[in-house]
Amino acid sequence: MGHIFFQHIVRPIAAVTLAMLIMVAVDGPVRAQLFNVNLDLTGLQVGDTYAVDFQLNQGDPTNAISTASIGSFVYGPGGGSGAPASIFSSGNTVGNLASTVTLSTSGSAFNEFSQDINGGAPGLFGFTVDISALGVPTPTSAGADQFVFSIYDVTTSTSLATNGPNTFELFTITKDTAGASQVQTYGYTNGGTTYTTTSNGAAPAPELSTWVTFGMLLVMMFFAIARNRRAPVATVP
Amino acid sequence: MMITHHCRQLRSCVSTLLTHQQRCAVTAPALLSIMPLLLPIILVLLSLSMLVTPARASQAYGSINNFDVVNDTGVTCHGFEIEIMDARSKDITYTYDYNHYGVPKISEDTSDPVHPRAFVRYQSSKNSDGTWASYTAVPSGPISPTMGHQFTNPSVNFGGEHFGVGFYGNPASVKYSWLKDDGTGNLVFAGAVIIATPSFTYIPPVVPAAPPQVQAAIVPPPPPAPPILEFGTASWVKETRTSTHNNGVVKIEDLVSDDPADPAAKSWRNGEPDEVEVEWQLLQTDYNAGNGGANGVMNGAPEDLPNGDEVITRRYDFYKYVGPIDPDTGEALADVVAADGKHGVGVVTVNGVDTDLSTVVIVGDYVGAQMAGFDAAAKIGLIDHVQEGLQNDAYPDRSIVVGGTSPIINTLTGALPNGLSFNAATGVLSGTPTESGSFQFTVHSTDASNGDVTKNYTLVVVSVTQVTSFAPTSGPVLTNVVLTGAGFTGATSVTVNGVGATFTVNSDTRLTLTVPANATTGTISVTGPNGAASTLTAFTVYRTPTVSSISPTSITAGSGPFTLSVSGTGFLPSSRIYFAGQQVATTYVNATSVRAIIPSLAVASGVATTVSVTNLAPGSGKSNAVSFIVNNPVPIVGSVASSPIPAGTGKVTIVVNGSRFVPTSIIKVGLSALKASFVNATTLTVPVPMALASGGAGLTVVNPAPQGGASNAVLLPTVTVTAGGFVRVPRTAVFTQTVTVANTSLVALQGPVSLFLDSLSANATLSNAAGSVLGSPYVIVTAGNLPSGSSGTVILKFSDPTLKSITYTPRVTHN
Repeated sequence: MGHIFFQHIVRPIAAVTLAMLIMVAVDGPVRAQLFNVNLDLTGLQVGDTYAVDFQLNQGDPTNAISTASIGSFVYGPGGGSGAPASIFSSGNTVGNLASTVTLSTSGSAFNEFSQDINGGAPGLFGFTVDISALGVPTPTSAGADQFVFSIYDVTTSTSLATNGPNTFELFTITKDTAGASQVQTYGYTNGGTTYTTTSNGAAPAPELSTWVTFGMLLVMMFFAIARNRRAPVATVP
Repeated sequence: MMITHHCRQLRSCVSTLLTHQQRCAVTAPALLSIMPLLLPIILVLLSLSMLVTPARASQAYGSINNFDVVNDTGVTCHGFEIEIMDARSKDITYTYDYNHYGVPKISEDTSDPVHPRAFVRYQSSKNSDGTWASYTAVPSGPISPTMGHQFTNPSVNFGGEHFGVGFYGNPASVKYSWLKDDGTGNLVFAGAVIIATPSFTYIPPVVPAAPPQVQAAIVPPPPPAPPILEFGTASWVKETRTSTHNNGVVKIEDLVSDDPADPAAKSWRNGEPDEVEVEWQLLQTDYNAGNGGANGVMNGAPEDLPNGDEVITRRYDFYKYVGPIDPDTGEALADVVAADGKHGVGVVTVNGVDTDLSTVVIVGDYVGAQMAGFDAAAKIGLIDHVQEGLQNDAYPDRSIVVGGTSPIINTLTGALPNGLSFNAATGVLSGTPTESGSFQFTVHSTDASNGDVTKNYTLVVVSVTQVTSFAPTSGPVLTNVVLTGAGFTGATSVTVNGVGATFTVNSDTRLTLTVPANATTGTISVTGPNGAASTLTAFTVYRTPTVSSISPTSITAGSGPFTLSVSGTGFLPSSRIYFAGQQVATTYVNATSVRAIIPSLAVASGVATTVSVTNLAPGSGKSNAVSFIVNNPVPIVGSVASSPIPAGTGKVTIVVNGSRFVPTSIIKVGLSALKASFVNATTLTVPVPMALASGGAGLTVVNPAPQGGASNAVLLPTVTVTAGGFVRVPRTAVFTQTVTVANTSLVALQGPVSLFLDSLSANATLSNAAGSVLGSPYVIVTAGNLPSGSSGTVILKFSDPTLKSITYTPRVTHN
């Protein structure tokens, strides 16, 4: 029975899934490298004003132009309502938290965007960042371009203390000379509890058509399994 | 020898006293000490003489001494000097000018105002070649007595001369000396002459009925040096009275004959025989005796002057004493001459041995004869000649008019050189001539005794040799140089820095010389008949320089600058040292030494080169070249740093730190020799192929010859540096960057391992730098060793207020 299941049901499904994944893999690199980033704001002091802070910095003037597009902002229960008026920006930045924010190293080596949000518990803040245009450093480059996300406590005019290398990073992305993304997530501690940044890793996020195709395949697999349960199973003499 | 003596009364009184002192061999200080005792006597005698002065005895002019003298010095002489103590130049009346030397030069020394001295110096002039024009020969043998006037013919020269001088007063002493060449063209004393000068003592009449008297005396000449023995030099003197009672004018030249008024010269016109020999006497001063001893003076008997104006003449013949002498005291033991005029008389004991003097010759060679004259009331007269003067040199006061009875009227017509004047009242010529040339003038004098004399004179004033300028002032040897000045006529020598030169006297004010081949830089000197003169500045002789040695002869590259001293010849202020073919600033020390500071750049690396000296125009060219070695040192490598070594091919720049590096240093990595770029003596850089740089190859620095050598070897560091992105501290201008240094060498890197940020952009500051070297900040990656294959991470912290790009070139160093 098990043998029949593997031969007539699992194998075809696996083959279809593999084909889908290959398709995604092929499709991914040539499309936007989108990262979902989520941060639990539970540890933040209710009533204080905080600001999210995005920066995209050039590692070497010889690096290609980098662009980071941040959007799909999500405010969970208890979180800030989304678009307080105060914005701090430096360098080449466009947009705000109501829609999208875009940072570019074109014409500016250091670019920073910061806008206030409301802290509170429990709460959640999420966004997506597209770093498909993050430049790959050359072998002789002095440093790589880097995207950094952090929280700025407007009330105390200090960054939220984290366990990052510089004690304020929550999420960083850079690329090595081979073009591989180097993603780091960090957390902050409040009252003995560590609240960690999460992301979906380095895998590119499939687009909607991919998901539709993938769903159709799953339906087809369901019907195929159902038919095989009703049909007699051939045995080897 | 005849003697004529004229004396003024007052002078006679003093002369009398002086004569007495002289007899006693009293020195001048001693005389002064007894003057208080003598003064009353002088005053008494003076008063009496004024009361009884004969009518024609109001003016007198001392004595005249005229003598033959044999050259007994043993050498050829070129002059003769008479020194008269207690006399001035104007006291000199006559001189005898008809010998080999002509008109003597008269001068005076008044440095001791109490005892002035007058000098009458007969001396030869010089020929153009510097040799003496006149001389007195050495006699071929003993000379027979000359009767006082045998040396009066200048055309013969058989070993003697005839000199004469007249003077006012009665001097303390008169010394005679022959003059000889000292070997360098100068005249020096050749020895004292034992001929003595008589003194005449005038004794005024003490009562009207008694006539005045005169008494002649003669004493040995003073010794030339303090006596060692008790007795001075002994001589024989024989006095001959040649005349008395002659009231005629006696001139010095007249004393060469017995009686000028009687051509037959057999007797004087008053009937007296012309010569009456008196006696022989030994003359020798006993310095222990107050009056000179028994033979310290030969006094004649006082003789009356009935008319008050008679002339007294005497001749004294001098012979050497050759008899026995007491060896302890120097006393002559034979004092009587036998009738034969040669041997002695009696027996004396010498050294314990009795000697019969009749068998001993005690009278030696004849040395001369002195003739002297005294005239109590000389008639007015004029001297024969005036001596030559020297431009701008004080002319000695000279009495042109002598004798006579007041009032005397003198007039001078004609030309005197500027600076000279004639005193009509005293008849004395004096002053300092300021112009040269030949000047003719006439002196006419009359006196109360109806004397009327006139004489023409020629006074020659010669230019003193002087150099006022010369041209050119420099040049090579054999250059003709023209001197401008005065007194060149008759120049006998011209030298350039002491080296004799050939020359031509173009005129008295212009002389042309040729710089001799062996001359060196120095003043030009001219020796003329009237002195020597030199240029105030040196004539610079240009010679081709030669370098004989240098110091140092070698140096280690990179140790400059240093002072190079060059020794040689022919250096000039325009000399320049050439080091390695390049002219360097040169300090002229003197003609044999120059030096220069050789700059560091000239000795930065080893080389075998040369040193020479060139005299710039108008010098005389370039010297020989002397070897100089710049030795390379053995280099030392301290540390090596490299840029981060990326993957792939190409080259990586290695920075080598150490010491003793030179521009020609070579870097060897493994077996490969690479041309290094010289930064300075402590830093080299070299691009190293990746293939050589990897794997921890050994690196050495090699300095080439001269000397030089290979340094210690160090391992070539191979590291990779990976820099993370810049992270901005939110809302600030502060950035951080994480950098990882990985040791890709096969061996550990000796710590501390440092990361240098070369060429850090000016807009940024590394705020956590551990230090800075040559403008590059650095951080220490690890203080300890960095093992092979391991890495170290460091966070760089920048501040960048301008928010511009932060750029730098990382460099890793280790020990």
